[in-house]
Amino acid sequence: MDRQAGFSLVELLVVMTLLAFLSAILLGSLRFGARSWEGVLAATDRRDSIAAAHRFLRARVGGLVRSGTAGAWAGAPEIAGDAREIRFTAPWLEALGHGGAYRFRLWQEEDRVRLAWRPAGARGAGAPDTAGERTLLADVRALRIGYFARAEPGRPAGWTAVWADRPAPPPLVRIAVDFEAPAMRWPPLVIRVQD
Amino acid sequence: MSGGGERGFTLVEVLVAFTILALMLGGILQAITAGLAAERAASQATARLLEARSLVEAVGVDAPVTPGRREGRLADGAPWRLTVAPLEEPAARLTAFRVELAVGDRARPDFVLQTVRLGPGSDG
Repeated sequence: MDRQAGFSLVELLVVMTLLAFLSAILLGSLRFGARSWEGVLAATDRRDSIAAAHRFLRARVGGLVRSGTAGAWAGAPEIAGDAREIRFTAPWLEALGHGGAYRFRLWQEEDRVRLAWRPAGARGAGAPDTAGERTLLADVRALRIGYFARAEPGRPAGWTAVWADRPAPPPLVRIAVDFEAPAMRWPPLVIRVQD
Repeated sequence: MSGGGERGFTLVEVLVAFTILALMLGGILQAITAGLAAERAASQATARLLEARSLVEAVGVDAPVTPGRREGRLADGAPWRLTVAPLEEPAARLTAFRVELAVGDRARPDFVLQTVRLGPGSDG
């Protein structure tokens, strides 16, 4: 029995050491698993937010509406802006249950790309206020907007950084975004504007 | 005597339990690794598709639509090939062109975007 008891002590030490080793490995693995999981979630979020912004801007800027009072869509399509900001009018059918033409403004504010919208034209009294503003992209270093101008007498076709007081919309609008995080990449966005 | 035997068995038991746990953990880690790889592939595919869409949209605006082939690489290095071919017999004033952008391996592209653009006809 004495021999058995002595063996138990060694046994205990061996078991404790093994347990300590195994627990360390186990905990490390669990921490790695949790980190990977969070990494995948974050990457999915980033990818979705970029794809959603692409889709939204392509649908809005690609389908401008012409200015004018309600019911008379005549005149020049409303689009103007520079490298840092763009303003345009476009339909937004799914907007908050109150579709119609909206005035949009997209600009950079500190490290965010913000989007503001308000109904274009007059609305009847008592119509719900469907104007709003939100952050479209976060952790942004720079927003750069370009406008493609067709060739004109004395000026070749090319990209320009300012679009103002033009009779027609630019055939192409280019929106580039640089992110602070190197892991985030904004695929080049070139939008063909219907005119 | 039987009590000592029981204690000895407990050590084996613990080892077996930990081995099983380690195996399970290995399986879980493998699943996580596969998930990471799938996420990376999905991100890459999304970025390529968005960029390819931009390429196709610019066709016929920054330069007239002319039949031919162009090649290039996306930002992540994936090769693309743009093919423009008349969709029908050239008409006098306007011709419809089929524009096709294939991204990826030449033999087996990842995806192909197609659209139709109007270009100059046989009169120029």
